[in-house]
Amino acid sequence: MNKVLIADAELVTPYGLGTEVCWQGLLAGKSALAETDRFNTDAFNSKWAGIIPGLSYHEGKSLVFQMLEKVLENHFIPSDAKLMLATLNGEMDCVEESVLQGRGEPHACCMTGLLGLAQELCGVADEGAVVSSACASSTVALGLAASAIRNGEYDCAVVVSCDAVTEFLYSGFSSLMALDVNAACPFDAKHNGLTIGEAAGYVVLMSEARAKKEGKVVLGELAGWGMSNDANHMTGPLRDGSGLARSVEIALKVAGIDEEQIDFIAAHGTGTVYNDEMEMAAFHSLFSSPRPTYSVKGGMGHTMGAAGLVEAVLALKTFETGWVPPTVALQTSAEEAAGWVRGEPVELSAEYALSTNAGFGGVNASLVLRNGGVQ
Amino acid sequence: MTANILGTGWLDRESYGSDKLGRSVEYASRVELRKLGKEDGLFAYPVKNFGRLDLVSKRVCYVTALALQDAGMEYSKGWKQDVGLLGTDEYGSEQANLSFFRDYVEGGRTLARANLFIYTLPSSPLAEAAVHFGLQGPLLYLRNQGGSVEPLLETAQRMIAEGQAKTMLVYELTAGLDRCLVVGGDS
Repeated sequence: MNKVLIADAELVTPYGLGTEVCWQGLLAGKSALAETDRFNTDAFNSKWAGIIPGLSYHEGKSLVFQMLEKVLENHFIPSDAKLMLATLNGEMDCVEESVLQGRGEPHACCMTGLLGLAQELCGVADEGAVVSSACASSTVALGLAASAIRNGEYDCAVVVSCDAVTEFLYSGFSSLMALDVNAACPFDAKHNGLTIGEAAGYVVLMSEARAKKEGKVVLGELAGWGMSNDANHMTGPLRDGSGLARSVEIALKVAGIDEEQIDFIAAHGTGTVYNDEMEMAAFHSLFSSPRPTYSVKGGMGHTMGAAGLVEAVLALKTFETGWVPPTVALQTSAEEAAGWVRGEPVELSAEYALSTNAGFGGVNASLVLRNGGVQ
Repeated sequence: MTANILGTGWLDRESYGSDKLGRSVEYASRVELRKLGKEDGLFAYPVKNFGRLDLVSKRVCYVTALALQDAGMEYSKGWKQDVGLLGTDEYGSEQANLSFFRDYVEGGRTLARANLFIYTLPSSPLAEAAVHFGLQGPLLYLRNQGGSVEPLLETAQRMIAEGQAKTMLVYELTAGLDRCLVVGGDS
């Protein structure tokens, strides 16, 4: 079995372009959330969002395309890399325009169209595939690509992910009463909903042999991945966290480690009561003692299908810097999260990280990341 | 890699069937697709709120029931199985997306309908099947440019070999024909 290494990665988030700017914002406890004027929010139960600066809305290129242009510009992706595009649903502003203005050809907003654009921007030969698994989309895509590399089917893959804040999504989440009236505060005693955010990013995965051959300075190892479904409800998670725990157990098994070896947790932490309680229930059932745990969504919002990729890339920064970021906006921990989450950074020399995501339809997905790379 | 197909269920505009059982039933005389479940006893127990499911989800539930039956796999209410779902179609959730947003716009852009919104993910029809049949393996939508089902079968095989699930259901949903293939581990 081939070891799967992370050879390159980059993000664009509401903090701006670059993983580093995002990391510094989170580490400083700064929030990139603000009241949005991208569309009229008067009818919704929130006005807050995590918006990437400088994008135009309904003025030509879709939001996610603009985001991908930013994040992929001046970056070299190996032309033989297999391509996976992970998204909740692609160009939703394109759907909005086709309804509002009668613009666009039939099927013009389909995800395969965006996949073609991603292929062009990446400069890869592979036509690629779209992966959609609700808010675990990019976690699942990373797992699928890593699995194929580990199995020797190919030795290099690029996972690209993106989702944007649109009126489409905002109105939908508002209809589900899922939005916090204020900015989201995951794992806080006052958590009461999520804030939608947007992000795009990519991760290049390589077999150890390929990375060695190319002399890559790797960012870490993608050691394990696990996926499961609650088989319970379309929008609500299994309250006892057993569905998410199942995906973690599979990821640990694939990584060949036990739970005690996990040093910190990059949680999904949406800020909804149901999610946060479910996640903490899962962690309590899995771990004999608390691990430093955080959510980035208090800083940038819930970046939907891109969330898992964003969170995995940021977890690598903990390996690099020796710091676990705070959960931005945390004031007083919810009872079940006390002792796990912190409002300030924690210094930690870590070998293994767990990253978790969950989403509509009961999907769960987890990744195990390892510090270091080429041995 | 050759997939180990344990059973297949299919549904088109005039008939439904399953391959191993050699079943093929015409239903064209029936006006409503939803009557199939009741009249032909396709489900071991009723699908909760079946009437509110979107059409794609209903179709997915039908082919799932047919495929599980074809593979000799039982299911019962409250019992969960280590079975995953992997699906592809032609245009994602395009129709559901348009239905949701049109409804929202026609309503004055003030109130969206949650029961339309939940189907705006291409994975949602699979999720409805997971809930009804108690399938707790991986659940995802995977679409390659060519729309071929072969990469899904390979992915399903790999997921089984890796321990993500014991069995995977692979869905190919098209305008003319829906199929669900039950993929097992190496025979």
